[in-house]
Amino acid sequence: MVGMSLLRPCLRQLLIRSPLQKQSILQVSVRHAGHERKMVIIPTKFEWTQFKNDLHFYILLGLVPMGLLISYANMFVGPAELSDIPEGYEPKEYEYYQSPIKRWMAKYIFEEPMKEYERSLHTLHVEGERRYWNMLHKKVKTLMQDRLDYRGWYWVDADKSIMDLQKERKEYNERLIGNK
Amino acid sequence: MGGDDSNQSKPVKGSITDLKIQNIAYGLFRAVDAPVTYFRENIVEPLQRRNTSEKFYHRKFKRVPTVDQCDFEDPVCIYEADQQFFRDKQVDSNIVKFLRQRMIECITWEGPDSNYKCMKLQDEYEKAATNWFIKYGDIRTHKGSIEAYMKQKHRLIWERQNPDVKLH
Repeated sequence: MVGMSLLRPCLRQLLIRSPLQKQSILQVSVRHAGHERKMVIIPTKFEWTQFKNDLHFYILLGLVPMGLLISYANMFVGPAELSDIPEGYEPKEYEYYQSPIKRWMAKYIFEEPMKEYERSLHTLHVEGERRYWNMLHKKVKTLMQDRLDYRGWYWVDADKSIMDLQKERKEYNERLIGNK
Repeated sequence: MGGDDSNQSKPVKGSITDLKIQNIAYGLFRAVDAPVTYFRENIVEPLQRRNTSEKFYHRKFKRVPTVDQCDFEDPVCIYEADQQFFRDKQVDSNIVKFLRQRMIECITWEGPDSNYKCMKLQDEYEKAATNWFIKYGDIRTHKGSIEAYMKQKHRLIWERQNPDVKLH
């Protein structure tokens, strides 16, 4: 748009012949760009802006969804009633809680404490057995090392075949030659 | 109700017992309380009453053999005894807590009269706290059953060796 407005004055500029006319018709587009270069000193708005930011964040992403969820759980699902355990009935894990949110979490998120308990009992049992056998092993090894009286870790097996051959040869020779 | 009211104190004008001030306080309380109560009683509770189908129960723990009936170094039996000990400790701690709370409330309410009006509660609490300390004092939280057993053994031996001294 600015270019187009310059076209006619430029054309006029080119078509005139006399220098005096040139100077009087000369038109240049003046751009009023910017203002005086000044640094405006104002008090900071940072903290107020941060506060509004945080408030907005925590209300819309925290308070509102959680409030809706908790209201729904307490009004439309409702807390459970306390009652006696019927005869011969084993309540499930989630039936030990009153709040519907806790019941949901016990059903779908957390593991039953009974399972964890039994698993730790199993681990303790296995490790206890391992410990027992390890201690027994060590005791037997120490005794064998001290007494050196049992065919175990500290017994060195020798190869008997050579001695057997020597014995045979000796007996054969004795039969032939005699032992003198 | 028609009896002798001359010993009861009447509201004194200008103090906190003045009826005007009491009514203003009540009004302020109701300004906050009324919408909440209305919401709960007229909206929430009918909805909850319509939806009662779920029940919840209190957990019952079976009794397991205590540590004096376990073999030496039987980790399973000792673990179960420890867990049972911890549960019993929680129960006893709560009992002592409630007794203590009763005593404190009595003392706070009675003020200067507490020395002779709260004696019974104080004695009960002191006895309960002493017994708690005898059983559970200075012992580890989660692995304490053997320690408690040994503590009891040492205490009985000491009592036998010092028959004249009363411990508590």
